Amino acid sequence: VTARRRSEGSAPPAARAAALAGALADKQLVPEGFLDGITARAVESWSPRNGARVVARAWVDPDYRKRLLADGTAACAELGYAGPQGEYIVALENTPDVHNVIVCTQCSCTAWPVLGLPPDWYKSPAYRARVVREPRPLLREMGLDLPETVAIRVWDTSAETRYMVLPLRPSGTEGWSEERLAALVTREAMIGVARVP
Amino acid sequence: VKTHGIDATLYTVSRDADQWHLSYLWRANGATYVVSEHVAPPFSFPDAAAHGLPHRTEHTYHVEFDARELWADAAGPNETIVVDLWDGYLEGA
Repeated sequence: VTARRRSEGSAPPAARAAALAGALADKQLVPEGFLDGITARAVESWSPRNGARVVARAWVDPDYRKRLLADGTAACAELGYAGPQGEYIVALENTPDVHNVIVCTQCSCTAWPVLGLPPDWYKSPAYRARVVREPRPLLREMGLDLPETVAIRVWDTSAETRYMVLPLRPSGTEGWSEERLAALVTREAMIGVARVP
Repeated sequence: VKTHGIDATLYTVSRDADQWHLSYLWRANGATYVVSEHVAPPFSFPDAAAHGLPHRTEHTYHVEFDARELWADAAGPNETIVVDLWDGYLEGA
């Protein structure tokens, strides 16, 4: 089955997507305007800038941080971030001793409302396989060198839970505004493959 | 594993895993793992859903493995893997 899938998967992704869209349209399985609508929503509503605002709020507001760690879904919704793939969000708190990193070993599940659609590397078989087998060397290759004294916790998105990492606030940012802090937070940091610089 | 708010406890992995999870759990078979206190709301049970069987939901749990228990040849110390597993995949030790 694997070999067959590989040979069938040799057409460029855009051609395969167009063929699939055509087949679904022929069978009248996709409501008119659905694809345009969801594409627009993905661009406008699902962005890692949302998650960055959640992180910045948690850095400056200890009560919000508590709420975020206790009920990520509700805390993200407080800032207006909810919807598909955000029905059950769990925020994972990095500490000086524990570093969290997330993956979907099955496919590409991501908390769309706060992380946006996943980047290509996140969906690659290499990342999905290696981050659970050899997280420390892989993260080092990706530019995040963690000493063995820091525990690495890899969270596999195997059910309906969607994760986001709450990174450590960088030193030297005392007194910064929420907006300025949010500008530091990258999607990679919220996946757990980078620090916040 | 049937109650909410459980403390971290050692269990062994059930053999009654669905096909997709089989490769993952196969490696985990016999390995010890820790069920976290966190209990998620009931989610659709994928084994039944994948076969088009009547809808049923089960709670899931964050289950944490020492990575070296799963991949002794590759994983290093101080690394753990947390997987969300459905209630039916687990049995008490």
